[in-house]
Amino acid sequence: MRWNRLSHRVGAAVIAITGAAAVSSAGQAATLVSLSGRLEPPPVTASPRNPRQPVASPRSTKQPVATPRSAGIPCVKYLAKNHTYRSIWAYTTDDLGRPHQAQAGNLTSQTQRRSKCEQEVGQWGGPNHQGGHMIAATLKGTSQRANLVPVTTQVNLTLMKAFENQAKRCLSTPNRQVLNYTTTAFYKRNDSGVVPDHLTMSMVIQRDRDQNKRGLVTMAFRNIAYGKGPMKTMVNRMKDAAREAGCAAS
Amino acid sequence: MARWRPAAADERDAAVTRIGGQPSWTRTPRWPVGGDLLPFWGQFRHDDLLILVFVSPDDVLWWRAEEGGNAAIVEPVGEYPHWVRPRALHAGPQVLPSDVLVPVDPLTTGEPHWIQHDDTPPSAPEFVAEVRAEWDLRAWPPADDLGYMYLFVSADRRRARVLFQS
Repeated sequence: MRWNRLSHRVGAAVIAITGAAAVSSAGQAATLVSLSGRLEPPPVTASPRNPRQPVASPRSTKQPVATPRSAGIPCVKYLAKNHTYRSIWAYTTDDLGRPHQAQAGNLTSQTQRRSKCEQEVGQWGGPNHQGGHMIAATLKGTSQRANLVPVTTQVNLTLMKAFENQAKRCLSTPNRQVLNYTTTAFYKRNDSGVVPDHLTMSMVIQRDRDQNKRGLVTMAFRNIAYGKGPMKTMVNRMKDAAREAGCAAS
Repeated sequence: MARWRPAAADERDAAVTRIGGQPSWTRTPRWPVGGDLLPFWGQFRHDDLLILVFVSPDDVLWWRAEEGGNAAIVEPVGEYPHWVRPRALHAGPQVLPSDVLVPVDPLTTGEPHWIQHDDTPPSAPEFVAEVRAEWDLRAWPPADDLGYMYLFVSADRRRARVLFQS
């Protein structure tokens, strides 16, 4: 199956909105909504046919080195390079050791303990930044550096939270699974900074444990202090997509 | 750790610290409207004041102290934040439509425990109380997230501000 992507620029430095409904070769309706701060399509490559398929890192052709479940990941700017940490879910770093991708194959919810690393990571971003979980603490995301990146308050408390809450709504909808829940952080080229330039989030909604009943929901955004209007648009589009994929509205 | 318990019959409408129910107006009821009626979440007793907290979890700025998705009103003499307007209405929408909870322990802890950076509102710097979702999710407004609510009041006790971190 190929996902149709339709994009157009709304504002060069503000937001570009892409959205399209896709129908698989098997005929089932699936929904793709993507909102991106860039013209290129979101780099998330979740496969609706095989949500457990690994998502390749566009920053590196090296295969990440996996480690056993991590008891303690240090709260430092740079972790091991091209490394996959495991703490319930998988957290992969990029060429410089910055958190690049967090991925949950078959999402479940349960609250994890918070840590002071959240505050420290937020401070690396300067004013109006917080240490944001790539996978929420309420979705078993670890409060360790491998899952924490500096994001603006608007991104953390509005955009990422809306996506997380929608995932939780999907989990609480009967006969729904959330597969391949993925958050990816992208950094500026030729810049060793630890503040992501933009992020993407995606999840595959599966109904009735049937691989032919899957819908993909994605969201992509710049790591900036968005105004209320653009955030409302993004959140509403994402909720519509999830609703079309068969989840309860949040 | 559960810090809340279901309210007894005589506590459900009382002017005490509680989450849920309808606000205990001590003057002519004036429900805050910010686009729509803001849902009532809870009220907090602070000395001789009662601070009513309204939160709209669906508002994209529900977390912010100085704009949009929430409002904290000091009874009986407080000012309304500039982003809401009052409407004469005694009862209105609730964040928690059925439960009414009261704290087992006093909520005030002296200093806020910030999850993120110190975000004390300049317009209302005196810390009143915080509510942590981890204490009891039944009391939490955006019902499916883990976070903290922080409540502040101004030195002249006429302004209150509420904000959230996660």
